[in-house]
Amino acid sequence: MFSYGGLVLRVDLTQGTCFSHPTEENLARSFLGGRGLNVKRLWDELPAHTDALSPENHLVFGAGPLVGTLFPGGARFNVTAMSPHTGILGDSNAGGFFGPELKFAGYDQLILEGRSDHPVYLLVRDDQIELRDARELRGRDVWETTLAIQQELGDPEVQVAAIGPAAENGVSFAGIFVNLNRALGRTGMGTVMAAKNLKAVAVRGTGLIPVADMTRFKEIIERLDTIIYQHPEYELRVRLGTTKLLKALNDIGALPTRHFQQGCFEHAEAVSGESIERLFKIKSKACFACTIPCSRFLVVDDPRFPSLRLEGPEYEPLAAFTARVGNGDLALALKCIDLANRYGMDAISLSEVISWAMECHQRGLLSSREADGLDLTWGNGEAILSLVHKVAHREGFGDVLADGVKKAAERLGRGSELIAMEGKGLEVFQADPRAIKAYGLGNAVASRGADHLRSEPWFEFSNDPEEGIRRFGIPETAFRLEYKGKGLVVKHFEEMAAIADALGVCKNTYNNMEVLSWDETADLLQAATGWDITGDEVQRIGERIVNLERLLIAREGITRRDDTLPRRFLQEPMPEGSGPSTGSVLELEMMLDEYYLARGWDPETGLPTTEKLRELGLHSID
Amino acid sequence: MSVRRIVVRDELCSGCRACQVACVARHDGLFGVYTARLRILKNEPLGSDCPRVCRLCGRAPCVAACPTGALYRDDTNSAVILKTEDCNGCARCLEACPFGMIALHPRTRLPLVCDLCGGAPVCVQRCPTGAISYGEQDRESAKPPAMHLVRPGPLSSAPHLGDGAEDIASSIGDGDSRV
Repeated sequence: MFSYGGLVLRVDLTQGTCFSHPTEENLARSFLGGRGLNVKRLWDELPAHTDALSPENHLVFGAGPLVGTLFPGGARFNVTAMSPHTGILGDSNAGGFFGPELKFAGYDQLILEGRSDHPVYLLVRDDQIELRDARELRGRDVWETTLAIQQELGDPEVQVAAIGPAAENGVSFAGIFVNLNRALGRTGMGTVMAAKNLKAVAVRGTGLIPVADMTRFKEIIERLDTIIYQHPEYELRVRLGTTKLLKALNDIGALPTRHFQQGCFEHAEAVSGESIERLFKIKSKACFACTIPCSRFLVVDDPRFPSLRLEGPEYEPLAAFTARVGNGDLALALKCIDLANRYGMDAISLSEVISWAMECHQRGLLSSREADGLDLTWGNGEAILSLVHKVAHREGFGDVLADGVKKAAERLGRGSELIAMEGKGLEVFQADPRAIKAYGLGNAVASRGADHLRSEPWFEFSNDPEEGIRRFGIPETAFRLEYKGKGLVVKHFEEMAAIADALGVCKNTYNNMEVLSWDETADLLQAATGWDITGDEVQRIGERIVNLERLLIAREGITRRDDTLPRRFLQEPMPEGSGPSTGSVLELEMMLDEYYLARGWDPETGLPTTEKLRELGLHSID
Repeated sequence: MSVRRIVVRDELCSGCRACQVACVARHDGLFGVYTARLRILKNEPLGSDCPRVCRLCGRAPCVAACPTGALYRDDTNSAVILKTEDCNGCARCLEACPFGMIALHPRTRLPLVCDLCGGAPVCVQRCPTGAISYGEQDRESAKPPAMHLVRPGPLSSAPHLGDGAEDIASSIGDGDSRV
């Protein structure tokens, strides 16, 4: 099969056995790969209410058809399983070099089942598969684990996806990490891996991937390169990556300052992407084959944190340990990010539990004594650092926070539930949904819980009403504070995000820079796979993935009732000091009605209708 | 007249491997990096990425070591060219290369040598940062776009051909004494 690795590897960790089978072309045509093919496996192979931490859960690694190709940033892969953090769909995505290596070894997917009776790591060297003893690696952090495995194998090019001690200690939002710093952060996929006694997956592939029409593929990529180099965002993205957002969101009053109590942050300049560039950036770094090297290698020269060197960060962890916790000390924030990576935790969820605890303290709901004597005043670096350590080890008050904010608030009570910033159990990202309405809707309906990467509806920042009319027939869609048409916007961008994740490409280029239309995507897929495929069919695949994910979470009891966000966003106007967003709330209900209508879902239940499922070829599995 | 070589600036390399994918796509017509004619040596904890390319040695040991005459120098650009029909796969070229830049293709068992793509190397064309350039050894003329490199740091170096390559290459002889 052109542009695919060609095989699915299944490993039974209980029995210590494995086998591979060809990637089914009919499934590839319906779901492409990556996130799409991963959710299809969960739907087909797991019964409803599968316990995420049981041996019965399947942990699925998947890399789509553009991974490992010339596509700029065709580097991304997904890991999918039932989530121990939210109880619904768990799914996370990262770039770097692991995904391409998996393809070069010949695999589109790894499906890991069961539970080993002792710590192991899985080694995949082309068609040689081995479970190796990892007892020595227990408790070692992500960096130590990765380097120890590369050293043991005598091969610095082996790609390692590792978990850290946070996962082993049962922190429910522990991630899987590749290339030391790249997180599959969200929804606790590392926690599932730890429950399988699997410390790491190491892959080395020497294969080459055939493509249906190389000449055509190269022509399209050449055109893409030109579009990218001439794109107005190119230079800023190379200089700052996504950290460019810190100042931009401060300017519009959308930062999550002190746990969403204000949209602007007085230290924004000091902790901005520009400051990182000026003070610490040594060079640009990139994912596989990417022509926009938006990652950065930093050497942090600060006597408090000797030898602090790291790649990144992205905007999310940066805002996590600055605005969200009220911290204006940039080096300290970078230290927290480095620790979160090494311990192996999702920086978004971690920043929520810490900032939630700080707000509880501010409101007198939580005493210092109950928090191991820590002074939880906003921006207290010592307390923030201490909580990062404590959560990773589930030590003292850290144990309360280690299951995420929803459970922490249930344990504390006292009304702290009302300020737990989560949706469907997943902690809200680093922007205030009141200031960006389509993002608010996207977070409310996202299939893995409150999250922006399921839609990334950037169009509402465009301020171009004519383009709004052209695209959606509604000028208001182009403005972040307007509501009208946002249901259509979110539907469209959800499908784009699903296609990006299923192809294995980066949303910075595919969604935010919009380098390919549906028809151009179909052209490229045709050159890659040889399939006769149209732009409409590509869009349909995106729609099919979104619908199947909805079916999967509906099986766990999710309905319209759950498509919501914390009360603060829906009822409390953004306070003074939130710049041009001051006074905004998020009116969700009418956007939801519009969204379900656009989706062809029942507006009462928020679930796909039989007609819609039939249209997408999903009716037989209902 | 000195030979026009592929010149490397490590500190500009983002480590993306786009050069390798372009190389393999051209020579194998497939996607991958394993059979690329250039390498990227990475040290992730230090953040370093070092492209390593064929140095086009003047009296090239690989060519001298070839018992069948399958390797020869291109008249116009000095690239080492493999006449595949004459190669017996003995791998002596691989042992002879002082830089370890030659490997055998895992399928064909033929040596992977850089042919400079006939004078327009696709690796250089694809490089997004200017970390590899074709024949621009002078630092002034190879100025990078400022956005890729913010300050001289522990990773900076003058443009070069690879670890100590200038010394070895000059001891072997430069392009005006071609084999």
